[in-house]
Amino acid sequence: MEIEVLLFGRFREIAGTRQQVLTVQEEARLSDVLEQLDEIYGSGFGAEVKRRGWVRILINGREYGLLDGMETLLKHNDQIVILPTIGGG
Amino acid sequence: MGGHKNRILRVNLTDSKFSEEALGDELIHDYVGGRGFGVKLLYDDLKPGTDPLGEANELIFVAGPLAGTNAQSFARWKVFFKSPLTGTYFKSSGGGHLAAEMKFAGFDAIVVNGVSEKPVYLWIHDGKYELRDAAYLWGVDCDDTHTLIREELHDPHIRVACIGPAGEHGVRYAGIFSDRRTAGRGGGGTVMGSKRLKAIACRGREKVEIAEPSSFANAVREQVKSYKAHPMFESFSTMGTQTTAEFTNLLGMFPTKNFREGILPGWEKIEGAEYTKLRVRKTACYSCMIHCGNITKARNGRYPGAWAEGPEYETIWAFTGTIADSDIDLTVAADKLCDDLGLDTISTGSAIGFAYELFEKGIITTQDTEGMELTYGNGEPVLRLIRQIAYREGFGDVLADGSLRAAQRIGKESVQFSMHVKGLELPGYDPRGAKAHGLNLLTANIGADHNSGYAPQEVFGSPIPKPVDRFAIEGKGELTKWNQDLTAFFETGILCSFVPALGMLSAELYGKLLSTLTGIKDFVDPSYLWHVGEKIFNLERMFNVREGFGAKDDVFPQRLMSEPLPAGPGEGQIFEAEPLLKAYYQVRGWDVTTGIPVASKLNELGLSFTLGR
Repeated sequence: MEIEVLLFGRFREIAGTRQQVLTVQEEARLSDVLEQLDEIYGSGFGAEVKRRGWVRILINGREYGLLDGMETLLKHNDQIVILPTIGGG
Repeated sequence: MGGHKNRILRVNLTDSKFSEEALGDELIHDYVGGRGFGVKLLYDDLKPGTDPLGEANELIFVAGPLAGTNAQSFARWKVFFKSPLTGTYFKSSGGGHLAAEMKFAGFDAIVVNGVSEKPVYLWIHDGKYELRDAAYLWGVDCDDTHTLIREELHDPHIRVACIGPAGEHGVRYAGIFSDRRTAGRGGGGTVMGSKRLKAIACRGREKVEIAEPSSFANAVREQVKSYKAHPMFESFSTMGTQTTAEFTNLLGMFPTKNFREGILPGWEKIEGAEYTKLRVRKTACYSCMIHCGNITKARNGRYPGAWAEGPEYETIWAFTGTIADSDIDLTVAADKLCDDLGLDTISTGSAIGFAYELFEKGIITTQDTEGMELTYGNGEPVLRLIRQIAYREGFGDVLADGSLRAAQRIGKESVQFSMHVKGLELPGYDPRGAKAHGLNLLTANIGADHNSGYAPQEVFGSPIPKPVDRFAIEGKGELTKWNQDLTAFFETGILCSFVPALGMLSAELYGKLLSTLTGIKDFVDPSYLWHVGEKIFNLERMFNVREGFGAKDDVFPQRLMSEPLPAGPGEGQIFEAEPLLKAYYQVRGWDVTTGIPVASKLNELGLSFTLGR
């Protein structure tokens, strides 16, 4: 199945792309996707994502931590967004 | 005395009389500074029912205790008044260098009342002051007013806060501008224009005394170290607020087409990386190593040569989501035009967005707009509308009173399309997508103000004090109070609101800065600061209660409470006002029916003087 990944801020700088469509096995979890991203972009990517608390990961607009965290089960055409926690009004 | 200059300057423009008074130990101890001073002075000075545009209304400029020191991010100035837009207490805030210069010129606060017969500006320098003729400045835009005053007084380092044509023409949401940093909201510029006060100009060489210099220096070092160590420091420093449209669109809460949708089609064209391409320079406020400001230049397209300091997130939203047009160059051009003419971008954009919906519904037509087609996706009329608003020409005259009064004038059931709380236009966050953020908009003491109790937990996923589900109702009354009281106590020092939103300064370190600066030991205790924050918020509420406001005014437009967000991550969400407000009033210690603080709460906070008034 296919998962769309959108990247912002320094994650985009590391990856060099805004959007990536990944093919993953059925019943893949969020952690599987992050592992795959680490393989594609190198270990720097995973290290950045693991700076817990200041990285926001959304699955279809919902906080991963309020779903099943890294174990959240994904389905075909899900959208994962990874962005740094910065901003202001 | 450390920090404060202990001097208030009072100016009556009716008879051109000046007086000075001390802040006094009691005011300093009980209200700390900044927002605390502003609300207490305004509450004491104004009688209920004061006409916002009359002689008796005041305009109180306040610099915080830490302004003018090398502590970081305390450069903001605040201005307090009764708002001609909302009829409530109002606070508005700008950055730049004005607050530090007020201190160097010798004053913590400048209180202006009365109405001048002729246009004047107030010149304050090294403890001295005078009113000067501003007839030649009347009609001049904000940037040029700065230049002309500096030339007249032969000093390029003078700091100015001024109004533009919008304030002179009585637009109810005219702002006050200082080096393109703006106290935009609520009509401070309107009050200033009604007094025929074109500007205040400051310059001085006085020092800000520090009670315990070596301990203060250590606290500042600690602050600098904590900024540098913060994982988000570098990113925020680079981007400022220009990434926020990413969050709000990804969360499906970017108000689009007058709050009917939560995602702007084509929002990728206004994300942070796109503004990076237009950025030509960084800017900073006095003594702030974040330097989040951006000078942005439009591409050579429809608006050749257009540039702005900004646009900040709210302005980006105000000229895209409102009209469903993602033209990045328009956001730059509209931002600069509002800065030049002296308009609040949020209320301006929101009023224009309101007009677009009326046009779609056929409530207004090209006959009303002198031929302008206000159709979604067509940003063409925006700059013309901004000019018309500022000069009260054509249809702009209707919009210049704010969308609520415009709706009352237009009739034909248009009131339901005015997106406001207490008359203040909503900013760029759909309350249905973030319930604590929405609850703050509903209960802020100046109407729909995001900065009175921003919920970074919901919008940015901040884990402080803990991660929350943005759609949940439970716990949001408590969280909203937490965000509002925290903001209120940090604003005693007039700390920039981005710093606590990112968790970059703790209450403990703030207390250390304040206590070593002033020598007042109570300030080191975070529980004392929380107490003062709650007191300030409640005194503001009591100002409004005295004006007749209460639970009946904590109301959103019906759309937000009954029409679910149609698509995106927030699909199906409404704003559940009743349970959210009830929980909020309870945790605040307010009567759950009237929304008025109960006597025991007021006594506990040292506000018993508000009882029976």
